[in-house]
Amino acid sequence: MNPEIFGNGSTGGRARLLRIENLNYHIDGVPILKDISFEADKKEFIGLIGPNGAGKTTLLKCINGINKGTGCIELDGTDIRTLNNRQIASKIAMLHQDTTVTFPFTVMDIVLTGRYHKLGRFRPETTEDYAVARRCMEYTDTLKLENRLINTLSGGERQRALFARVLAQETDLILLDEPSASLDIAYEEQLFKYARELSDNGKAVIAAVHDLKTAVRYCTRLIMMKEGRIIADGSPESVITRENLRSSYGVDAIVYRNRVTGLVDFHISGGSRSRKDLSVHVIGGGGSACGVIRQLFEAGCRITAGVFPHGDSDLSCADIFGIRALACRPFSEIDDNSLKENIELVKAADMTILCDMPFGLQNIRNLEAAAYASELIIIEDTDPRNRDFTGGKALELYNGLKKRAVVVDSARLHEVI
Amino acid sequence: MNNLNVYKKMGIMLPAMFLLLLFTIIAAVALGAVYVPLGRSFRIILDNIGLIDDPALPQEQVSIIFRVRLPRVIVACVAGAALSACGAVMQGLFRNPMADPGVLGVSSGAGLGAIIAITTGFAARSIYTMPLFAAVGALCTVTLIYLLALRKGKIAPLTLILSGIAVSTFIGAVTQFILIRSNTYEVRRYVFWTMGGLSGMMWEQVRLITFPVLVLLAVLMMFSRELNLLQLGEEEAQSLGLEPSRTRKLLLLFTSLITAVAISVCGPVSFVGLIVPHMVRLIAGPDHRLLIPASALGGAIFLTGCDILGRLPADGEIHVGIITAILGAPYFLYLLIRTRRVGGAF
Amino acid sequence: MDNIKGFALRRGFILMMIMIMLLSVFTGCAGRNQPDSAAENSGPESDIRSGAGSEMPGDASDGVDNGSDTGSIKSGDASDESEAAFKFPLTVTDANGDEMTLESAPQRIISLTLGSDEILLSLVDKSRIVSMTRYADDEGISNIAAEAKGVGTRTTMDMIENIIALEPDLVILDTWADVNYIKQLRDSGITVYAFRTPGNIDEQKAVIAELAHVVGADEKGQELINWMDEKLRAVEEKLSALRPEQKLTVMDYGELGSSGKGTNFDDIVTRAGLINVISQAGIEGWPMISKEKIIEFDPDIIILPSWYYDANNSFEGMRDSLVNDPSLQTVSAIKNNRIISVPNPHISAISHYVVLAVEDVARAAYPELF
Repeated sequence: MNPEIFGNGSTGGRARLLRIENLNYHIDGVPILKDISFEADKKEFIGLIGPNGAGKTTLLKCINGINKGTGCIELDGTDIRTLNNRQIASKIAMLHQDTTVTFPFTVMDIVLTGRYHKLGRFRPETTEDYAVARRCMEYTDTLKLENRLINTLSGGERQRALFARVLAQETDLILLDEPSASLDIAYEEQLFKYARELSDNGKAVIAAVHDLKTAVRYCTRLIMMKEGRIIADGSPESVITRENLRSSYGVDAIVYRNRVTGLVDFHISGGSRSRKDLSVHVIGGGGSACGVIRQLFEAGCRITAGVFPHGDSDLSCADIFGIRALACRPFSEIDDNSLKENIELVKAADMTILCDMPFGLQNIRNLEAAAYASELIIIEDTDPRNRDFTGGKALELYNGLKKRAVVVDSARLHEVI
Repeated sequence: MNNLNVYKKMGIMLPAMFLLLLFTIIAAVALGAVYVPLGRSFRIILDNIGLIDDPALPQEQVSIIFRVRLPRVIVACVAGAALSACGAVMQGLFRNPMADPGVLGVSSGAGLGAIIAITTGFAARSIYTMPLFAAVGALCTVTLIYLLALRKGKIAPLTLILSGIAVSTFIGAVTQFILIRSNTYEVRRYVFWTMGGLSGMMWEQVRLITFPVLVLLAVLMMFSRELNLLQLGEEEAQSLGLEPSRTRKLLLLFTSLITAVAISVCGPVSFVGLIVPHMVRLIAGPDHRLLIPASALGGAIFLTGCDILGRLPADGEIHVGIITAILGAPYFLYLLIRTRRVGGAF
Repeated sequence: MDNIKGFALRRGFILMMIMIMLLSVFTGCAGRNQPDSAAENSGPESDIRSGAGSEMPGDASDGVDNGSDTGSIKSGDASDESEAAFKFPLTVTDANGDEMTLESAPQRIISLTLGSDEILLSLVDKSRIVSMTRYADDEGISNIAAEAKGVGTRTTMDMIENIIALEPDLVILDTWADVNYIKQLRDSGITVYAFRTPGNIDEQKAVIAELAHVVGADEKGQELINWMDEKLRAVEEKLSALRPEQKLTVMDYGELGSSGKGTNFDDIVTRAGLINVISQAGIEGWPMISKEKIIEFDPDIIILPSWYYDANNSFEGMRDSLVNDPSLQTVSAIKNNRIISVPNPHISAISHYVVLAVEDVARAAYPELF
């Protein structure tokens, strides 16, 4: 690839890498995407931003040919509807939001599936395919996991392995659908660093981004979406404005240029128009609270959280969203003081949410605090019996709480708040 | 074992299973209602395939070994391999360990074909009538279920399973309607057929199923990579370049064909397609490149072994379908209980 | 489709079902269940049994009017063999349409149906029979339970290896046999003859003649047929006084339904001077008759089986349930207490013994004429 030709987004009379015009997409007559038009070129790292349900994931799937919309999506000047999946896979790779793999394949096998579009029915993987796979794994620091089973990896390791697979497809365009409830904040940073590096070296990357600060830091261009439409498209400075943030996220924010990083930055000053009266306390830990906090944040609630041990990813998540969170010493039981403070926060909040978290002797007192909630919501995605590491004590408390709580899974949280 | 490269694993597992299969075949030829010394059994086989010439062999033993026992063992191997490999493919296709070829209504359709062949009297005309009617019944039923499950050119697995249940039940009712109008002998023939049996298998049946089953098994194995991709989820598979719905349709077609061929000859032998791939998966892992051939070998071993057990009682043999059910049902229940406890699919 | 079937074989089916069920629980003990169920049901049989029970050819000595006939039917002798010698090799076509040639009179015969067991035992010397069915030993269904003791071994259709190992020169089975088994036996060089199960007494005579021909005992076969004719003529004579308007109506009521047109039962009761209400209504085969229909048909006599597949059933139990059924009180058979049973081995026979059932039924229906 030649950066002199594809740099700076200039067309120079050649077809753009990706051109979308008047893309519309309906599910059962309900419009999900409306009149989407934009172009993308090599060396661009485009962040799709906007609240949950704005249509970011749907748009990525349309580009990948999974969702079939009306309008025009051209890749190197060719309508993607004239391409079969194999041809699309040789030009576009996508990292999907849900990265769980339940089947015990080795990491190498998974990465090699990225080579599928190059293989024939009678053409097995060659040493070149293995070499490409190893190179990509080396890049994402997963080569050492080569022979591990994918279902035994941590969330971050797994995502890195799957990213290596995306790279192994050797495409010009990479689509990233960032998980809305990632387990590992530090890893997400890493993912965006990789993506930026790749776009700097000539690939085009389009990513659905949930965290605005990350988007601003890494993307060369942002496209802000709201209810299936593009409401702003351009450099981060031109997209992250007080007006745009209010109209898409419904938040009041002070937007300024950060003197340290030199990037545009913002500070949320108030709540949303609809939810700013609602105060919510989040009890979590081990990464279980992050997605919940983000969702509440986007809904504009007033949020408090705790008690998290220092070093917990939920604590850093709370920091990112600038919310008050109680912290305690790691690997030890919650002290009386923290418990008391936590109870006060629970009492003060309109609503308390107990996340889908593991229970150990260190955090069992969080369950005691939850008992003081005026309204309790329990998020249950996995069987609590498998999360109880206290030999049944926590489970007993949990089941007691459950009797007077609303129990939902995280996908349906928005319905109860 | 699970962390080994799939090709290395194939190099260990497949020869080991092949040896076990050979051992089972030898046992199956050696054991039976009438005792024939093992050495003589081999001489009979070698004599009949022209490798040696021994006119002194007792003719009735030649018949027992070469015309009764050997073709039966071969049909058991081929049918077991076919049903089990199809089970592995169906479980991969639906990403559900409880799926088996019966989901597609193959058995019910074949059953209807069988009862029609019996009551019209065609079954008594030629040994090929029952297999033909059963196969036609099976394929018509699969086609019907398939067309009902087709939405906008795509096959939704859940719709397929549900329409499979509905059509199977309907076909079953039609079969029972015919049964109630049939006489005792006809009912008995049908009931015996539904138990799945290997007695009465001859070289004609061996010829009938071996070629199509082996060819279709080879075709299935060529789809291993696609099946692996389907395990990752439909959309991910599509992003990687797979055409999920076309792959699914082709695989459904091939599995129905193989299953129809197998059960048209030896009846709907239950549980082979369910438990064998499942047990093989525990050792072989999820990779279909290994899973399909290993399941085929495992199915051959299992069905041949069950047939040996069925032949042991001296006062008349037990249909092999009964043996597979006796062994299979408890394992199936164990799976159900374990699935409920662990909450996971596999 | 042939509308031909016999009561005994229906029972055979149920027995198989029971066997299979037992086998699924406890393999290998199936055969032992048959005598049990038969023994338990021998009770009801004995108290309804009329004089006919003693007239089986097997019990020739105490026969009243046919002692000499049965004596000559019982076993083959030298003249039989010599007669056979001159007409072999013999080419015959069986009921499946398959042609076969018997080089000489078969000396190692395997019979795979109860009907052919009974016929063969009256046609040829016991030494020529190498195997019969297990049903032959079952007093509840067999007319030859005593006679069959020690004759040959016992095999079933699916014991192909055992059958081949017995090196038979003739295997007799019916057209219901699985074509695969037939082919397997023929491929092993064994002559297999399939007869069609008769649907009435005339067809039964033809089957006897056919089998007699195949085993080279035509003369014996003719004697057997003559014996049948004589038994039938005796009943006919007794009934000659019966005017058409005096004829009673009848139906049977068993676990597996009743018998209509084209059944052995229909032929038996017709020859016994009765009118089968079910065939009168134009119903063919073996329908399940609802209680409403019993009330409508209003038979004078109801015949219940003397033997039941389900050991919990018995003649008395079945009779009491009908007698005590409030809805059936208007039915003549119940009002007049004419629910009867006849010996099962006769009425379900697929052999010459079927004529004894005609006498059983006639005697029970018109005792004043006997």
